[in-house]
Amino acid sequence: MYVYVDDSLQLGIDCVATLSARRMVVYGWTMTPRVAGTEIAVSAGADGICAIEHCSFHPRPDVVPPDPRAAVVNGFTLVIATPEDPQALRLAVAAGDATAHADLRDPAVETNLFKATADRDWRISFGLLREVGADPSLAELAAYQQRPFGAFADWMGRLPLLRGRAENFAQFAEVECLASPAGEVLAMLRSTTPMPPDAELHATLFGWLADEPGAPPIAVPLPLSDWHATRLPAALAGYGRLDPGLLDRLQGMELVLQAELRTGETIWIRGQPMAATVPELLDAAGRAAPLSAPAPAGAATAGLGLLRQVIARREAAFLPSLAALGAGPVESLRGGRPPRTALILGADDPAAGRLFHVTAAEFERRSDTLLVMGEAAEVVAEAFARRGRLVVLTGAEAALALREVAGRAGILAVDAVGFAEAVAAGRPEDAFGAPLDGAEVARLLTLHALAGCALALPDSLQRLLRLRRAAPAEQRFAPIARAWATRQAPELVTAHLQRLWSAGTAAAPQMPAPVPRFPAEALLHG
Amino acid sequence: MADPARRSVCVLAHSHPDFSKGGGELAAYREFQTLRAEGRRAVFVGACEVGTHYAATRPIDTVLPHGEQEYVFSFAGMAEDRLSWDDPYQRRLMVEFLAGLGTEIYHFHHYWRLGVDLIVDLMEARPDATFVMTLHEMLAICLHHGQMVRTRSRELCKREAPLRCLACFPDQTLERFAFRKATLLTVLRRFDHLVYPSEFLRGRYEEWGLAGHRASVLENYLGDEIVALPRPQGDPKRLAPRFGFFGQPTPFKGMDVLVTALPLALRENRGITVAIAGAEREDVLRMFPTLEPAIEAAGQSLAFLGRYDPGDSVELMRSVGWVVVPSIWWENSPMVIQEARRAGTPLIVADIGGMAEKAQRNVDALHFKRGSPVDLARAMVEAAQPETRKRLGASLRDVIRREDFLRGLDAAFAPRPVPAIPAAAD
Repeated sequence: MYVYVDDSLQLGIDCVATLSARRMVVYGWTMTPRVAGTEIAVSAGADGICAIEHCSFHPRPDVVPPDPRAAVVNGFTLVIATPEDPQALRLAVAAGDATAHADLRDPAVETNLFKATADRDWRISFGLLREVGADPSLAELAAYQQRPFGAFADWMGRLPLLRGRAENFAQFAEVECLASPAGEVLAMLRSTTPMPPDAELHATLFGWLADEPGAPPIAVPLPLSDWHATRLPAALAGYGRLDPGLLDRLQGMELVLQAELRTGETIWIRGQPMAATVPELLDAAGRAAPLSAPAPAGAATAGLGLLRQVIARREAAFLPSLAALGAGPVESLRGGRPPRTALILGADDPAAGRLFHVTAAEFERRSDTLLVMGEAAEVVAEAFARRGRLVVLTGAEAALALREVAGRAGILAVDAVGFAEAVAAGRPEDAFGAPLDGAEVARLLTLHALAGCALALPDSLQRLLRLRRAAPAEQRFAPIARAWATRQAPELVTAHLQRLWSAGTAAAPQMPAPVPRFPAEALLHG
Repeated sequence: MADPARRSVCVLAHSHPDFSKGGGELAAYREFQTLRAEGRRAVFVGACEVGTHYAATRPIDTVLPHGEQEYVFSFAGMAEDRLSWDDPYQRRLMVEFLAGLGTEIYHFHHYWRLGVDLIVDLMEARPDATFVMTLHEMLAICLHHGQMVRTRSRELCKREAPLRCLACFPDQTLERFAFRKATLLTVLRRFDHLVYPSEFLRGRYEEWGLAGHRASVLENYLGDEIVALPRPQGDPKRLAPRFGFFGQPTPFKGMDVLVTALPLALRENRGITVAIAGAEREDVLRMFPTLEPAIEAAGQSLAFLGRYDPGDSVELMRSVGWVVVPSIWWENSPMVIQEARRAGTPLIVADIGGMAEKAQRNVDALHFKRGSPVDLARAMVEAAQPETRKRLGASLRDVIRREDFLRGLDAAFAPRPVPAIPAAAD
């Protein structure tokens, strides 16, 4: 719909859609004289003026005034509060003495919000998605008509999809998108040719959040609390983190990347990050060139620079909370009643099911509730569930129960293989001999998320127990087993993780934190 | 409680001799028959391959009667390795059936095809009963069919160790080995008594993790019928150069060692002959194609008798002067040695494991270096001397008698001593 008043005052309505009974969204543009003050308002006839709850403007290069020196064009997105079933709905743009009116209920106005959002300049939709993530009052846009991604559904469907990692994606030799259990995301867009000097990388995302265990997750736009993008000699890189308070509910992410290579040359990516351990994510950050081609000059140095930068940011974000956890009062279980919740970790092999079938009584004697974690958790749990003497939880329910006991009751953590070895030695009680108190469980879960070296929890439990039993002189952080992409990364990453693991403990190593060597001005804030 | 020596017994085995005639199931069935002949209440329950195959295509009851106080069962609901049940419903049916038999003793002759989970569930269902297990072989210790022979060579393995096992089974994981060992040890330790048919087996199991458990060594009983057979002394001069092999042409029974040794022995004594019972010439060549030149070289000195009925083995053994047991694996408590001793025919055996134990050097047998045709040829030449045959024929021991077997069985069946209740403190 288009309203012409004169050559410098015009109004376009691209879409009007009802978000709820009392709220609407309007896409459009205005052309107003440069010299006059401009106001925009929506009235509901006899029902009065509609409050504008959200208003954002953006460039509309596709609309050109007859005399650009006399008029200026702005695109807009409005979210307005309306009366229920309004008598009228008119949008007015006033510039000086003149006013342009548009009837928002005109049948000629587009009402398909999905289409309008997908048909707009994608920079506008990208910007709006960011705004929705930052402003909870706009949440209805992302839940529009209860479709995943709401108003952005068609647009998300048109974005080129990247699942984890791909070669020869757009004009990049390799594109990689990783997510760590700490709620971090890393995007690496690696090329075989030099990156233009003005190249930029921006990101926003949807998080798949579940309100409760077992509930279907819902896509919710989320702000990246710490997004840092940088241009490397032959790559664009972006590192960001989500609010840790969201991690309990987070089931997955959909990252939208906007790579501006040169003016007018934009690469769009809808990235579904691959789950990665912290070492995997950091190793990827340090690799600034694709695997399939020789690294361009300076790429290795730049990659290490980025790695140091990411490490520095992680430590700034995580060390204080870990130090507080490590130094917090530890409720001793010695002499007290041992915890009545047991946790079987590392139930990864169905063969473990047999062992627990024949040793179920060992757990029934010592616990009331049993949490089972691992790839074969269901098989193991069945060995107990059939007997009906314990409450047995697996999967998300077990994770939730574990978080509930964190900081409170403590837990009998039993590594499945360790239990097997204790049983074979004729001393099954040894496997239950080191219960974790509540504070230690909380620290374990935090360390696993922030500094875990494997996706599964047993590795982190073993590291924690090793730290607990080792005398300070022999306290060492066990090496991380992986095929590193770069030679320098292992030392940097291991030292970093060791600092996190020993934060707040008496034996914290006195190793200096890395000094960021990458020029700060090279960081592009998305 | 009833007279301990009269308590009822359920004998469980991984098969029934009607379907296969391995040493374990034969020993189990003969125990059942002997107990019944003693007038004691005994029930036999054996796994049934036929029923299991049938169950794959048509409905069939899990447990089927198979004679007076005899039952067989389908193990179609078990996991592929037959160590536990995939189908909990069938396992429960089995447990309910076994518990419902009401016997006071459950004597297992295997866990394979019976299931460690079934055993534990039955123990929980019948806490009042006595549980006894006879360990006929080493499947619990060694994934290689319990042979304790390396998979990539014929090297003997003397001790279970996770990394050594991984070298034999690179597709497995250390975790899986740990789970398997812990599972089997847990179940075996729960038995009130463990019976080993040989000291060799007892040593292996105790080193593996069963040391300190109530256990005894009890020879398998050959059964009243065989034990009642007469044991005439043969003519040493006639029998001395005649050697017999009794068994299947498998990679581990050492038939190839014997056939290779024969031409070497013939160089020194042209009168030596070897009879192979259990296989035809073609069967042997199918398993060991490289033996053809040795078979040709042996000519008329080597005869293939084909398959035989195990019930005829003692009679057949009397037709030769020596029974050769040249296995390249340990052997646990070979029935062929017992049968030879029962027949009155001395042996030549490899110098390892159950063979060396059950056929004592210079008492029951001549020993030779395991796997060595040269040393076996040396032993055969020595054995072919009539005076050697006469000496060992005289010292050769007979097998365990019925009374001794039952006494050993009753000792194993004795209920576990109940700990004394301490006097109450003031």
